[in-house]
Amino acid sequence: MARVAIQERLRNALFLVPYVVRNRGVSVSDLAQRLGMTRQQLGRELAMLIMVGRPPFTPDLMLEIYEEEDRVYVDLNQSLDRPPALNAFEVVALAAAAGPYADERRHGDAATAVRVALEKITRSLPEELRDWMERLSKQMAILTEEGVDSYLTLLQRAIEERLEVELRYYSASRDVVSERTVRPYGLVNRNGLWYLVAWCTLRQQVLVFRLTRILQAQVSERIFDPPQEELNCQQFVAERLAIPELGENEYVIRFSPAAARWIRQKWPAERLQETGDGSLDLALYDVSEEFVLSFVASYAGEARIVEPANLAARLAEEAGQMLDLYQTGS
Amino acid sequence: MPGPRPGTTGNSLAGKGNRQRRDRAERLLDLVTLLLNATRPVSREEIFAAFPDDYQDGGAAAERMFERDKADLLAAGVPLEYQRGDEFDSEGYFVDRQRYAMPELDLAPEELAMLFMTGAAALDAGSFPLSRALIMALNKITLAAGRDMAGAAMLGRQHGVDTAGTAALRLQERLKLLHEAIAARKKVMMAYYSFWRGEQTRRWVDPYGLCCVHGSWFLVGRCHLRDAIRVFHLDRITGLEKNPLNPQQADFQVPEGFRVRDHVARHPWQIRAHEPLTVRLRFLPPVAEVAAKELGPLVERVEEDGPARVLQLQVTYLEGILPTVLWYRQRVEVLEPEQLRQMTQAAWSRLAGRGGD
Repeated sequence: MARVAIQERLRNALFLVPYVVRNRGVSVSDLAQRLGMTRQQLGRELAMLIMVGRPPFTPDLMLEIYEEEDRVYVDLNQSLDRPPALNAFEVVALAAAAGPYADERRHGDAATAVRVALEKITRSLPEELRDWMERLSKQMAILTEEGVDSYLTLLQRAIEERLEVELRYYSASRDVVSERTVRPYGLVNRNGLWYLVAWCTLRQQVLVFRLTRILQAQVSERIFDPPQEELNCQQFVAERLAIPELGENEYVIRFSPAAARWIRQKWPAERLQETGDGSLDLALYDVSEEFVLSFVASYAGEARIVEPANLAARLAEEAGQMLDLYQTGS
Repeated sequence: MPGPRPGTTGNSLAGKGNRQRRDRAERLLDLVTLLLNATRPVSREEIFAAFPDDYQDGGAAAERMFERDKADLLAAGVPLEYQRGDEFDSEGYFVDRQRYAMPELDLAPEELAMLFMTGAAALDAGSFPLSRALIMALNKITLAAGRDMAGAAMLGRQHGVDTAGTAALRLQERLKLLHEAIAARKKVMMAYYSFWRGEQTRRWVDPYGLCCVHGSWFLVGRCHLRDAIRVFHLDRITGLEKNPLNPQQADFQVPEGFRVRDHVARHPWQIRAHEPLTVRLRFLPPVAEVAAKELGPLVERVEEDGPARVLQLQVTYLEGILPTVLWYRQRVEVLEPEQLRQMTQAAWSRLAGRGGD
């Protein structure tokens, strides 16, 4: 444990010095954030680094790194001016994250970009690391939604260049298609699904868009100003996607004993209520009716809407129409 | 608080440390600095002499300490090498500056962007066992490219967020242990709760790979109990221990051509329960386009049928696609196979309250 920690401290330090060499006067908090450290941790590392040097440790042979008014400077870098090459774990980490996008079944700009990037990285590695990476990168993978590759590169470019985007978007919660101009702030992946966080000029607020529901996206030439306050897109998506624990509109869904086993595994106990006969009630608040209908339907009859009654009636009516469709045959 | 600056505070000049114990990281960095700046290989004796307070008399204890330092430097990615002496060169240790530094990768903007996006997605997946390595890799690449990425500075912060909760911590520990076992090819003893059988078993598993699908982690490995490759959901592992015997020696070989993502189904209908069946689904617009993307590259063919679209895909577990078909409700009709049509019809019959299976 201690040795892993020391290796990591070493890696951090060997990155930190060249980073400050090239970003003279970087703020302490920016630097800490970039390294995933707290300010205190960074402060300790900086205090250690001023002691580093080489024999006979005269002032000109010491690393001269210091903090002044919350900013960090390096005056003497002692040949630590370039970032160290990627190590084996760093390469495996990159390959695990990016590799699935380079899958042979995938096409388009994103897949090509990933393939080329990974090739360039692999080529830069010493031979022994290359073999190791080949092996391990096949053994670790993070799979995410696959059908959105073309929008990923397009939207990322718009985010970086701060260009407004014209969207044609299918809103599943309202079951309508609409057109709008958005200011893209960030792309976020959550539980394998891709989302765009953007200011919607139609609704005049920041909204979350599911990438698969974008029917068309066109980057305009209009540059927008960055948001006044820095937005943590990942946190924003997490908050928006969370199903409220309480709310004004309550939906109660009853699961058969067979389905109840799954539901107990997936949902927190606070939302659940046993009915006594092995069935289980799940309470949801302030979700869309479309969501409730689809959610219940997907359980193939092992779930039904208890409340509100009018929604239960609507699903029964839909079911009747579907039954007619299948019975008459097409 | 501005730190004291060498030269202005009378930092020790003659040699290192009058203190008995100093930070090991500091000594290791001193070593890197010494070797990076050396114009010829540096002998072990010279190194010991340069840090008299650390390596003391150069005896057996110093040897051990130096061995450990070398191992840590190598593990941290410093390419420390040893050169045997001859009539031209002296014997000793050196660091090749070319190999030490990040090479020019020459990544195009969109290549860099994709590495960042996929990297950020992996960090969002939570508990990614190599998250720190990933953050560092992305940092190094951007620094070497001399170009910052939107959101690059946020990566570290995002990572800091997901450590809450005991379940998340336990998952992180398991992933770490499994990742180490995979890298070293050591078998693991695993207690596992099978949801389908409703029972708990203990078994040896040769861990081949880890895969994260929709935020859930799976281990793929050869199960000694069944003598077959099996997929294990990490949430159902109730106990885990790495084989403590012969830690330096691999316990197994990974089969040639193994790829973890070939074994884990991203969608339930990809589970290999039966021979592939051709499924044809007729979607109404605009959901047709959305569905085509959500089913991703699995869709073999898209045919136009008036305003509707017929999507064709291969399914190896019909039961697995039923929930998705039902989720789209009136916006989809199953055309083929007949068996899935009947299953769908039976489900709608139950939903209509007409019973009947």
